Amino acid sequence: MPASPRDILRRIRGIKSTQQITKAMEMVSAVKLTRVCNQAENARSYVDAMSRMVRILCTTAGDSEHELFKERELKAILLIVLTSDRGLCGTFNTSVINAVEAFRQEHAGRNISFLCIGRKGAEALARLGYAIEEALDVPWGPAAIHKEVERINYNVLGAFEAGRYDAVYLLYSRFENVLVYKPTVVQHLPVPRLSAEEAKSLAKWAIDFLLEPNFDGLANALIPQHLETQLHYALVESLASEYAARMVAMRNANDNAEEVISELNLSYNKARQATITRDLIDIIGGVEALNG
Amino acid sequence: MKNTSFRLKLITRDRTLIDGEYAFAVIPAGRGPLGVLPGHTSLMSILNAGLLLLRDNDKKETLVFVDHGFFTIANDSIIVTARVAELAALIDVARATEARDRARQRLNSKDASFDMYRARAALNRAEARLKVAQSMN
Repeated sequence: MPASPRDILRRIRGIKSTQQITKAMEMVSAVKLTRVCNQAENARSYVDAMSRMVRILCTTAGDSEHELFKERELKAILLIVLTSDRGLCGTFNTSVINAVEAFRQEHAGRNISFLCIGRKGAEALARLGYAIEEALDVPWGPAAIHKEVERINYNVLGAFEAGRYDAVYLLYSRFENVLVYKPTVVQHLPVPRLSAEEAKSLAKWAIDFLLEPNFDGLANALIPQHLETQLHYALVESLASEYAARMVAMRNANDNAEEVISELNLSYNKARQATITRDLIDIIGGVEALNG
Repeated sequence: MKNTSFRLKLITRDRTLIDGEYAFAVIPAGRGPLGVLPGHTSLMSILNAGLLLLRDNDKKETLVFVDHGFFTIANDSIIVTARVAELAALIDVARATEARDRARQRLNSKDASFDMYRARAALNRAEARLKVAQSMN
Protein backbone atom coordinates (compact mmCIF):
# COMPACT_ATOMS: atom_id res chain seq x y z
CA MET A 1 0.00 0.00 0.00
CA PRO A 2 1.36 3.45 -0.84
CA ALA A 3 2.27 5.74 2.04
CA SER A 4 -0.49 7.96 3.29
CA PRO A 5 -0.22 11.70 2.52
CA ARG A 6 0.32 12.39 6.18
CA ASP A 7 3.33 10.03 6.38
CA ILE A 8 4.86 11.68 3.34
CA LEU A 9 4.36 15.12 4.85
CA ARG A 10 6.15 13.98 7.98
CA ARG A 11 9.09 12.73 5.95
CA ILE A 12 9.30 15.99 4.05
CA ARG A 13 9.42 17.88 7.31
CA GLY A 14 12.16 15.60 8.63
CA ILE A 15 14.32 16.08 5.57
CA LYS A 16 13.80 19.83 5.66
CA SER A 17 15.13 20.03 9.18
CA THR A 18 18.18 17.97 8.18
CA GLN A 19 18.66 20.32 5.29
CA GLN A 20 18.72 23.27 7.64
CA ILE A 21 21.57 21.66 9.53
CA THR A 22 23.58 20.88 6.42
CA LYS A 23 22.99 24.38 5.14
CA ALA A 24 24.23 25.90 8.39
CA MET A 25 27.27 23.62 8.39
CA GLU A 26 28.07 24.59 4.85
CA MET A 27 28.03 28.25 5.76
CA VAL A 28 30.11 27.76 8.90
CA SER A 29 32.68 25.79 6.89
CA ALA A 30 32.79 28.51 4.26
CA VAL A 31 33.50 31.16 6.88
CA LYS A 32 36.18 29.05 8.56
CA LEU A 33 37.73 28.27 5.20
CA THR A 34 38.06 31.96 4.41
CA ARG A 35 39.68 32.56 7.76
CA VAL A 36 42.16 29.72 7.37
CA CYS A 37 42.96 30.81 3.81
CA ASN A 38 43.76 34.29 5.08
CA GLN A 39 46.02 32.80 7.69
CA ALA A 40 47.78 30.74 5.05
CA GLU A 41 48.19 33.73 2.81
CA ASN A 42 49.62 35.85 5.60
CA ALA A 43 52.09 33.14 6.51
CA ARG A 44 53.06 32.54 2.91
CA SER A 45 55.88 35.09 2.61
CA TYR A 46 57.43 33.96 5.89
CA VAL A 47 57.34 30.35 4.74
CA ASP A 48 58.88 31.30 1.40
CA ALA A 49 61.60 33.38 3.01
CA MET A 50 62.49 30.60 5.44
CA SER A 51 62.57 27.99 2.66
CA ARG A 52 64.82 30.23 0.64
CA MET A 53 67.24 30.53 3.53
CA VAL A 54 67.25 26.78 4.06
CA ARG A 55 67.97 26.27 0.36
CA ILE A 56 70.92 28.63 0.58
CA LEU A 57 72.10 26.73 3.62
CA CYS A 58 71.70 23.40 1.81
CA THR A 59 73.70 24.62 -1.16
CA THR A 60 76.57 25.50 1.08
CA ALA A 61 76.19 22.30 3.09
CA GLY A 62 78.59 20.29 0.96
CA ASP A 63 79.33 17.04 2.75
CA SER A 64 78.52 18.45 6.14
CA GLU A 65 78.01 15.80 8.76
CA HIS A 66 75.53 17.94 10.61
CA GLU A 67 73.18 15.87 12.72
CA LEU A 68 70.01 17.29 11.17
CA PHE A 69 71.13 16.67 7.58
CA LYS A 70 72.76 13.28 7.95
CA GLU A 71 70.87 10.38 6.40
CA ARG A 72 70.71 7.44 8.77
CA GLU A 73 69.88 3.85 8.16
CA LEU A 74 66.08 3.75 8.27
CA LYS A 75 64.85 1.57 11.07
CA ALA A 76 62.45 3.62 13.15
CA ILE A 77 60.26 6.19 11.44
CA LEU A 78 57.84 8.70 12.85
CA LEU A 79 54.93 9.68 10.65
CA ILE A 80 53.03 12.79 11.65
CA VAL A 81 49.48 12.40 10.36
CA LEU A 82 47.16 15.38 10.04
CA THR A 83 43.44 14.70 9.90
CA SER A 84 40.32 16.35 11.32
CA ASP A 85 38.61 16.05 14.68
CA ARG A 86 35.17 15.71 13.19
CA GLY A 87 33.58 13.83 10.35
CA LEU A 88 31.02 14.89 7.76
CA CYS A 89 33.73 16.05 5.44
CA GLY A 90 33.48 13.55 2.60
CA THR A 91 36.56 11.49 1.87
CA PHE A 92 38.93 13.89 3.61
CA ASN A 93 40.03 11.55 6.40
CA THR A 94 39.72 8.35 4.40
CA SER A 95 42.11 9.60 1.76
CA VAL A 96 44.69 10.43 4.44
CA ILE A 97 44.34 6.97 5.97
CA ASN A 98 44.75 5.42 2.52
CA ALA A 99 47.94 7.43 2.15
CA VAL A 100 49.10 6.00 5.49
CA GLU A 101 48.60 2.51 4.10
CA ALA A 102 50.57 3.37 0.98
CA PHE A 103 53.34 4.79 3.16
CA ARG A 104 53.44 1.61 5.23
CA GLN A 105 53.78 -0.51 2.14
CA GLU A 106 56.56 1.66 0.86
CA HIS A 107 58.38 1.30 4.17
CA ALA A 108 57.52 -2.34 4.82
CA GLY A 109 59.73 -3.96 7.42
CA ARG A 110 60.48 -0.70 9.17
CA ASN A 111 59.19 0.28 12.52
CA ILE A 112 56.69 3.10 12.01
CA SER A 113 55.24 5.11 14.88
CA PHE A 114 52.50 7.66 14.47
CA LEU A 115 51.82 11.09 15.84
CA CYS A 116 48.22 11.95 15.08
CA ILE A 117 46.89 15.47 15.00
CA GLY A 118 43.15 15.06 14.58
CA ARG A 119 40.88 12.64 16.40
CA LYS A 120 39.59 10.90 13.26
CA GLY A 121 43.04 9.83 12.17
CA ALA A 122 43.91 8.60 15.65
CA GLU A 123 40.71 6.56 15.85
CA ALA A 124 41.22 4.98 12.45
CA LEU A 125 44.86 4.10 13.10
CA ALA A 126 44.04 2.73 16.55
CA ARG A 127 41.42 0.47 14.95
CA LEU A 128 44.06 -0.81 12.55
CA GLY A 129 46.25 -1.53 15.55
CA TYR A 130 49.16 0.75 14.70
CA ALA A 131 51.59 2.17 17.25
CA ILE A 132 50.33 5.63 18.10
CA GLU A 133 52.96 7.64 19.92
CA GLU A 134 50.74 10.60 20.66
CA ALA A 135 47.25 11.65 19.64
CA LEU A 136 46.25 15.30 19.72
CA ASP A 137 43.21 17.34 18.85
CA VAL A 138 43.45 19.88 16.10
CA PRO A 139 44.16 23.32 17.54
CA TRP A 140 42.03 26.19 16.31
CA GLY A 141 42.93 29.89 16.15
CA PRO A 142 46.33 31.38 15.23
CA ALA A 143 47.64 31.63 18.81
CA ALA A 144 46.69 28.06 19.74
CA ILE A 145 48.14 26.71 16.52
CA HIS A 146 51.47 28.49 17.04
CA LYS A 147 51.71 27.23 20.59
CA GLU A 148 50.83 23.64 19.80
CA VAL A 149 53.11 23.50 16.77
CA GLU A 150 56.00 24.88 18.81
CA ARG A 151 55.55 22.17 21.42
CA ILE A 152 55.21 19.35 18.89
CA ASN A 153 58.23 20.58 16.96
CA TYR A 154 60.32 20.70 20.13
CA ASN A 155 59.35 17.14 21.09
CA VAL A 156 59.85 15.69 17.63
CA LEU A 157 63.21 17.36 17.22
CA GLY A 158 64.29 16.08 20.62
CA ALA A 159 63.22 12.52 19.80
CA PHE A 160 65.03 12.65 16.47
CA GLU A 161 68.23 13.98 18.00
CA ALA A 162 68.07 11.38 20.75
CA GLY A 163 67.99 8.74 18.02
CA ARG A 164 64.53 7.41 18.75
CA TYR A 165 63.65 7.92 15.10
CA ASP A 166 65.88 7.77 12.06
CA ALA A 167 63.50 9.85 10.00
CA VAL A 168 60.37 11.91 10.45
CA TYR A 169 57.77 12.29 7.73
CA LEU A 170 54.79 14.56 7.55
CA LEU A 171 51.51 13.48 5.97
CA TYR A 172 48.96 16.19 5.36
CA SER A 173 46.31 17.22 2.86
CA ARG A 174 47.78 19.78 0.55
CA PHE A 175 45.19 22.39 -0.36
CA GLU A 176 45.01 23.12 -4.06
CA ASN A 177 41.58 24.62 -4.41
CA VAL A 178 38.15 24.20 -2.90
CA LEU A 179 37.52 21.01 -4.85
CA VAL A 180 40.99 19.50 -4.84
CA TYR A 181 43.19 18.48 -1.94
CA LYS A 182 45.93 15.90 -2.08
CA PRO A 183 47.31 13.82 0.76
CA THR A 184 51.01 14.54 0.57
CA VAL A 185 54.00 13.01 2.31
CA VAL A 186 57.06 15.18 2.86
CA GLN A 187 60.31 14.32 4.52
CA HIS A 188 60.63 16.37 7.66
CA LEU A 189 63.84 15.03 9.15
CA PRO A 190 66.64 14.65 8.32
CA VAL A 191 66.45 17.81 6.26
CA PRO A 192 66.28 16.62 2.66
CA ARG A 193 69.24 17.54 0.50
CA LEU A 194 68.70 19.49 -2.68
CA SER A 195 68.20 17.57 -5.88
CA ALA A 196 71.20 17.76 -8.19
CA GLU A 197 69.26 20.01 -10.55
CA GLU A 198 68.19 22.41 -7.89
CA ALA A 199 71.65 22.54 -6.41
CA LYS A 200 73.08 23.37 -9.81
CA SER A 201 70.67 26.22 -10.50
CA LEU A 202 71.17 27.67 -7.03
CA ALA A 203 74.91 27.17 -6.84
CA LYS A 204 75.60 30.16 -9.03
CA TRP A 205 74.61 32.78 -6.52
CA ALA A 206 74.16 30.89 -3.26
CA ILE A 207 77.75 29.70 -3.09
CA ASP A 208 79.02 33.23 -2.50
CA PHE A 209 77.09 33.69 0.70
CA LEU A 210 79.02 34.40 3.84
CA LEU A 211 77.48 32.52 6.70
CA GLU A 212 77.42 33.95 10.19
CA PRO A 213 78.33 32.62 12.65
CA ASN A 214 79.08 29.51 10.51
CA PHE A 215 77.30 26.61 8.89
CA ASP A 216 76.66 24.66 12.08
CA GLY A 217 75.63 27.65 14.13
CA LEU A 218 73.23 28.82 11.47
CA ALA A 219 71.83 25.33 10.91
CA ASN A 220 71.26 24.81 14.63
CA ALA A 221 69.20 27.98 14.83
CA LEU A 222 67.54 28.02 11.43
CA ILE A 223 66.48 24.42 10.95
CA PRO A 224 64.30 24.10 14.07
CA GLN A 225 62.46 27.27 13.15
CA HIS A 226 62.16 26.16 9.56
CA LEU A 227 60.67 22.84 10.65
CA GLU A 228 58.23 24.64 12.88
CA THR A 229 57.20 26.83 9.99
CA GLN A 230 56.74 23.79 7.76
CA LEU A 231 54.65 22.01 10.36
CA HIS A 232 52.59 25.11 10.93
CA TYR A 233 51.94 25.58 7.26
CA ALA A 234 51.03 21.92 6.79
CA LEU A 235 48.53 22.22 9.61
CA VAL A 236 46.96 25.32 8.12
CA GLU A 237 46.73 23.65 4.71
CA SER A 238 45.18 20.58 6.27
CA LEU A 239 42.61 22.77 8.01
CA ALA A 240 41.83 24.54 4.76
CA SER A 241 41.37 21.19 3.01
CA GLU A 242 39.13 19.98 5.80
CA TYR A 243 36.81 22.95 5.63
CA ALA A 244 36.73 22.90 1.86
CA ALA A 245 35.88 19.19 1.94
CA ARG A 246 33.17 19.72 4.52
CA MET A 247 31.74 22.64 2.61
CA VAL A 248 31.49 20.59 -0.57
CA ALA A 249 30.10 17.55 1.26
CA MET A 250 27.44 19.67 2.92
CA ARG A 251 26.54 21.34 -0.32
CA ASN A 252 26.06 17.93 -1.91
CA ALA A 253 23.93 16.81 1.01
CA ASN A 254 21.90 19.95 0.57
CA ASP A 255 21.35 19.32 -3.11
CA ASN A 256 20.40 15.71 -2.46
CA ALA A 257 17.87 16.80 0.15
CA GLU A 258 16.43 19.22 -2.37
CA GLU A 259 16.00 16.40 -4.85
CA VAL A 260 14.43 14.02 -2.35
CA ILE A 261 12.03 16.73 -1.22
CA SER A 262 10.84 17.43 -4.73
CA GLU A 263 10.30 13.71 -5.32
CA LEU A 264 8.38 13.40 -2.08
CA ASN A 265 6.29 16.42 -2.99
CA LEU A 266 5.33 14.72 -6.19
CA SER A 267 4.31 11.51 -4.47
CA TYR A 268 2.49 13.52 -1.80
CA ASN A 269 0.41 15.20 -4.49
CA LYS A 270 -0.22 11.87 -6.18
CA ALA A 271 -1.30 10.27 -2.90
CA ARG A 272 -3.54 13.21 -2.10
CA GLN A 273 -5.13 13.00 -5.52
CA ALA A 274 -5.61 9.27 -5.09
CA THR A 275 -7.54 9.72 -1.82
CA ILE A 276 -9.70 12.39 -3.40
CA THR A 277 -10.47 10.13 -6.34
CA ARG A 278 -11.21 7.24 -4.02
CA ASP A 279 -13.58 9.37 -1.92
CA LEU A 280 -15.34 10.62 -5.03
CA ILE A 281 -15.78 7.09 -6.30
CA ASP A 282 -17.27 6.14 -2.96
CA ILE A 283 -19.70 9.03 -3.00
CA ILE A 284 -20.67 8.52 -6.61
CA GLY A 285 -21.04 4.79 -6.00
CA GLY A 286 -23.33 5.55 -3.04
CA VAL A 287 -25.45 7.94 -5.07
CA GLU A 288 -25.67 5.41 -7.92
CA ALA A 289 -26.83 2.74 -5.45
CA LEU A 290 -29.57 5.02 -4.05
CA ASN A 291 -30.74 5.94 -7.53
CA GLY A 292 -30.68 2.35 -8.74
CA MET B 1 76.00 53.80 -11.61
CA LYS B 2 76.11 52.52 -8.11
CA ASN B 3 72.84 51.96 -6.38
CA THR B 4 71.95 54.50 -3.74
CA SER B 5 69.44 52.29 -2.02
CA PHE B 6 68.51 48.69 -1.36
CA ARG B 7 65.23 46.95 -0.80
CA LEU B 8 64.47 45.61 2.63
CA LYS B 9 61.64 43.32 3.66
CA LEU B 10 60.86 42.51 7.25
CA ILE B 11 58.63 39.47 7.45
CA THR B 12 57.01 38.04 10.56
CA ARG B 13 54.98 34.88 10.83
CA ASP B 14 51.72 36.70 10.25
CA ARG B 15 52.57 39.50 7.89
CA THR B 16 55.10 41.56 6.02
CA LEU B 17 55.77 44.42 8.40
CA ILE B 18 58.14 46.46 6.24
CA ASP B 19 58.82 46.46 2.54
CA GLY B 20 60.63 49.45 1.16
CA GLU B 21 63.72 51.15 -0.22
CA TYR B 22 66.38 52.26 2.24
CA ALA B 23 69.79 53.85 1.99
CA PHE B 24 71.23 52.56 5.23
CA ALA B 25 70.40 49.97 7.84
CA VAL B 26 71.78 48.69 11.10
CA ILE B 27 70.91 45.06 11.66
CA PRO B 28 71.47 43.31 15.01
CA ALA B 29 73.46 40.43 13.56
CA GLY B 30 74.83 37.49 15.49
CA ARG B 31 78.21 39.13 16.00
CA GLY B 32 76.87 42.55 16.87
CA PRO B 33 75.22 45.41 15.03
CA LEU B 34 75.95 45.37 11.34
CA GLY B 35 75.78 48.54 9.25
CA VAL B 36 74.60 47.90 5.73
CA LEU B 37 74.99 50.18 2.71
CA PRO B 38 73.96 49.48 -0.88
CA GLY B 39 76.27 47.00 -2.59
CA HIS B 40 76.85 44.87 0.49
CA THR B 41 78.33 41.43 -0.06
CA SER B 42 76.04 38.38 0.07
CA LEU B 43 75.50 37.26 3.62
CA MET B 44 73.22 35.10 5.65
CA SER B 45 73.17 35.41 9.41
CA ILE B 46 71.34 34.96 12.64
CA LEU B 47 69.44 37.93 14.01
CA ASN B 48 69.92 38.85 17.65
CA ALA B 49 67.36 40.46 19.87
CA GLY B 50 67.83 44.15 19.30
CA LEU B 51 67.29 47.26 17.30
CA LEU B 52 66.81 47.28 13.57
CA LEU B 53 67.42 50.78 12.29
CA LEU B 54 66.40 51.81 8.80
CA ARG B 55 67.20 55.11 7.11
CA ASP B 56 65.68 55.99 3.78
CA ASN B 57 66.95 58.46 1.17
CA ASP B 58 65.21 61.36 2.91
CA LYS B 59 67.08 60.53 6.13
CA LYS B 60 63.88 59.45 7.75
CA GLU B 61 64.49 56.75 10.31
CA THR B 62 62.41 53.74 11.29
CA LEU B 63 63.23 51.78 14.42
CA VAL B 64 62.03 48.26 14.99
CA PHE B 65 62.63 45.83 17.81
CA VAL B 66 63.32 42.38 16.35
CA ASP B 67 64.00 38.99 17.86
CA HIS B 68 64.29 35.32 16.90
CA GLY B 69 65.19 35.73 13.31
CA PHE B 70 67.53 35.52 10.38
CA PHE B 71 68.44 37.68 7.44
CA THR B 72 69.99 37.41 4.03
CA ILE B 73 71.62 40.10 1.97
CA ALA B 74 71.99 39.51 -1.77
CA ASN B 75 72.07 41.85 -4.74
CA ASP B 76 70.83 44.86 -2.78
CA SER B 77 67.89 42.94 -1.48
CA ILE B 78 67.65 42.25 2.22
CA ILE B 79 65.17 39.82 3.64
CA VAL B 80 64.73 39.74 7.39
CA THR B 81 62.55 37.11 8.99
CA ALA B 82 61.73 37.51 12.65
CA ARG B 83 59.31 35.85 15.01
CA VAL B 84 59.08 39.09 16.93
CA ALA B 85 59.04 42.51 15.30
CA GLU B 86 57.61 45.61 16.93
CA LEU B 87 57.80 49.13 15.67
CA ALA B 88 59.64 51.04 18.38
CA ALA B 89 56.87 53.60 18.63
CA LEU B 90 54.43 50.87 19.61
CA ILE B 91 56.45 49.09 22.31
CA ASP B 92 54.68 48.71 25.61
CA VAL B 93 57.33 50.08 28.01
CA ALA B 94 55.45 49.12 31.16
CA ARG B 95 55.16 45.52 30.07
CA ALA B 96 58.79 45.33 29.02
CA THR B 97 59.92 46.80 32.35
CA GLU B 98 57.85 44.29 34.20
CA ALA B 99 59.31 41.44 32.15
CA ARG B 100 62.84 42.68 32.83
CA ASP B 101 62.27 42.89 36.58
CA ARG B 102 60.72 39.46 36.67
CA ALA B 103 63.64 37.95 34.75
CA ARG B 104 66.15 39.68 37.07
CA GLN B 105 64.38 38.34 40.08
CA ARG B 106 64.49 34.83 38.72
CA LEU B 107 68.16 35.08 37.92
CA ASN B 108 68.94 36.33 41.42
CA SER B 109 66.86 33.73 43.20
CA LYS B 110 68.64 30.44 43.81
CA ASP B 111 65.46 28.54 43.03
CA ALA B 112 66.41 25.69 40.72
CA SER B 113 62.89 25.32 39.39
CA PHE B 114 63.45 28.26 37.05
CA ASP B 115 65.19 27.61 33.81
CA MET B 116 68.19 29.93 34.14
CA TYR B 117 68.93 29.82 30.44
CA ARG B 118 65.45 30.97 29.60
CA ALA B 119 65.45 33.60 32.30
CA ARG B 120 68.68 35.05 30.96
CA ALA B 121 67.26 35.06 27.43
CA ALA B 122 64.14 36.79 28.72
CA LEU B 123 66.27 39.40 30.46
CA ASN B 124 68.27 40.11 27.33
CA ARG B 125 65.11 40.42 25.35
CA ALA B 126 63.43 42.75 27.77
CA GLU B 127 66.51 44.95 28.02
CA ALA B 128 66.88 45.13 24.26
CA ARG B 129 63.25 46.04 23.92
CA LEU B 130 63.54 48.79 26.49
CA LYS B 131 66.65 50.14 24.85
CA VAL B 132 64.83 50.36 21.55
CA ALA B 133 61.89 52.12 23.17
CA GLN B 134 64.18 54.59 24.90
CA SER B 135 66.16 55.34 21.77
CA MET B 136 62.97 56.83 20.36
CA ASN B 137 63.13 59.70 22.81
